[in-house]
Amino acid sequence: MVWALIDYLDHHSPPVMARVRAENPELSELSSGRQLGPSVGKADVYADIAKSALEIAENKIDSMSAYLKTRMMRAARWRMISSITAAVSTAGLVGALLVNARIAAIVTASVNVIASIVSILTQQFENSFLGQGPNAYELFKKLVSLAARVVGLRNELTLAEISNFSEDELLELTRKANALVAELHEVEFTVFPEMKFGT
Amino acid sequence: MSINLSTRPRHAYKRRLYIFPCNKYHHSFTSRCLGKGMKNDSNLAVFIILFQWTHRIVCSRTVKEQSQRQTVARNTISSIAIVAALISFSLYPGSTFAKGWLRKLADADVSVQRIADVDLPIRERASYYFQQYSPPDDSNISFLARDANGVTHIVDSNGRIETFESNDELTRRIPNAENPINPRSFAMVEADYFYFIDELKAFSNGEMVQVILRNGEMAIAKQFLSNGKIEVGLELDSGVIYHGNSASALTNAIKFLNVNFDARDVSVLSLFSRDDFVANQRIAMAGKELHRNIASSSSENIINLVTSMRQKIIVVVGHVEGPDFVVRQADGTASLQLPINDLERAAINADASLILLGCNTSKYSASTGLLSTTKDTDVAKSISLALASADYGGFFSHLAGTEAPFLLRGHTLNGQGRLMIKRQMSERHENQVTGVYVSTIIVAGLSPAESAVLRSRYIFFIPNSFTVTYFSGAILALMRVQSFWKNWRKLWPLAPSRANRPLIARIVISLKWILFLFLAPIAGVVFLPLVALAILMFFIPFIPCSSPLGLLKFCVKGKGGSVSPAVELQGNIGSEINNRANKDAWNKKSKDL
Repeated sequence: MVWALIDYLDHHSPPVMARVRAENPELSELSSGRQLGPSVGKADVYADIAKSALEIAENKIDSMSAYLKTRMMRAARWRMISSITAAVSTAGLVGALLVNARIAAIVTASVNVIASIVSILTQQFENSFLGQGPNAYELFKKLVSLAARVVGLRNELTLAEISNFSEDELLELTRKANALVAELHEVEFTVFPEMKFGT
Repeated sequence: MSINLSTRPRHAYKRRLYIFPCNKYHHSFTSRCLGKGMKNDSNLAVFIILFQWTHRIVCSRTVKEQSQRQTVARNTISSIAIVAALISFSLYPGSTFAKGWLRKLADADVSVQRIADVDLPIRERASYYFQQYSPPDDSNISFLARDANGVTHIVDSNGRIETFESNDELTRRIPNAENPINPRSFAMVEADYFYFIDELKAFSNGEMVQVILRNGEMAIAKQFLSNGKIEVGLELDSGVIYHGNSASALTNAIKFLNVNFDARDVSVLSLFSRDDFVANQRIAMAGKELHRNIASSSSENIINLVTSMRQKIIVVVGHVEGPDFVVRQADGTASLQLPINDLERAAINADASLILLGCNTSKYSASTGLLSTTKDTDVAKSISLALASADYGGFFSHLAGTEAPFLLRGHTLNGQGRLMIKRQMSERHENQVTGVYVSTIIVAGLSPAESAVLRSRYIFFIPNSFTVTYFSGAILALMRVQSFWKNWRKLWPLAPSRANRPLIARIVISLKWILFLFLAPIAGVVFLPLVALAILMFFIPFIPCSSPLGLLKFCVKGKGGSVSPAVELQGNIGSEINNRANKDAWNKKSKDL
């Protein structure tokens, strides 16, 4: 029920998970990995885990957004440079052909080739991270949406704590947090493919 | 004809059958043996009498008395007579100890198996097993067996035998978890009997009942819960609980577990939702190219997929809720519910074996499953190790892991075991032998036991007994190659004189040599029984009871040492073995005998 939250905390904040495990040694599902059968959880413990995970998630979304923004800006800059270079070299090539300057034509054509290569690299830089899947812009948009959901869910959990929500309501919120964090974790693995999976 | 060996001149022994030990020492030695009370061991007596008889036939003839051809004929006839005598002794034994001793001679190295076959009295069997498995000194051990009349007997470590005709009596006597006679109490029973004594199953809690398998291993009987019923299985390998209904199925299962494992027979299917990419990745890394995630498929497609995996071992990993595999998204909603029964039906249709890895799958499965809860991390490790196993025993043992025992039902293994052995044979055939012969055997279908015999052959299509006999005969033929060749070259067709027809002479002699090389070992085989008897005669008195060949002497083993059956007649063997004060005296007595 909370496997994504546990994975996320194990990955980004092992001491928090260690504390929760130490406080609830009877909950076997808190150990690493998914129990391949039904488990009976404690709503308040799960809510605690969810809050900790969402707090970390908020920070991670900020840092990931900044990284993606930088990456997109760098890509846009290179795209502009390659486009200008391509335009200038194309014009130079046409001019060189008109005055029959063979050497100048070869040089401008070579510059054009380099500009095309830069353009292709930029496209790759902007697009997929793993060779397939969403590009940087789509990921950024997803992160923005996740950030909003994370903030909303954190507020709901805080409210639940203050308002003494029932166990079922708490579990429902925890499930939502689990799904949200699973989604975020997947985005993280897409943006940083070198990240290691849990054991 | 009676001959005084001591007065015969030495040269008289010169030109006899070389391979037979003709000297007076052997004759007088056997006479002494007979005279010194060896008659209690009827097998040994048979050997001695046969030896003396052969000695007289072979050693009493000299070259002076007969022509060489007559000697050869006489030796051949006497050898045939000896073989016939051996066979007749085997078929019509003079005592229970002599029964089937030819067979024992062949399999003497499998001591526990032989003991299970030999019709020894229950106390001697118990004594043998107590010694063989050396239980801890402070344990209270009992040995159980049921006789032909259906009466159960228990032998304790003091050699006392108790007989139980009613189940209630037995219930009171067998140690069990609720009423252990002492904390280290346990009962031993042979696998053949385990399936006949139903009462035992009720006490198979903890390590109270240990079953002696035919391969000499000891398996602990364990209770488990299946479909709400308490059942009993045997822990054959670490964490692998086997559940079957007969000793023969158990024997086949043990054979199957020793078959070489081939990962290409396995397919790993995981049932984790797409958003649980960490779990998916774990199982994918463990299963490598054998892994496939089927969580996004519909139930029908999964059933069709399993049905299409003919004769495979299909490992299914997933989250189990009651009798179903359930795929849950991260938000807790179930995207797929797949009944275990449907999967099992599909596997039966595909003649495949299903291995279900989820929490307590054995409760709802009629084939295999885990007996407790588990986690995907443990399952991933198990799969990774299991796929690198050398044999099926290792494969199932790794699947069980350290935490969750694995249940294996007998009927699941029958088809799969036969299939794996056939495939192994087929591959062996591809690598070593060409031709249609083996393929025909495979198509005809063999039992695992028959297949195992074929696999163990030195030359695939020739029985080992023939191969060994033939080469032993070749060695013996070398000893008499000159005289064999002399006789052989006189047979038709005779080679013409080399001076007159050199080419034809050479062709005939060459062909005769070639035939001779093939057939001489068969002539040599004729002398094998004589040599075997001679060797046995030399070594039987020196064979220790503890060695596998000790069975030839029918030693009865006990805690204090090994003795011949003659001693057993003198008193209560069990109590004498257990009496530590008498240990030294006991050993001395064994040595004297």
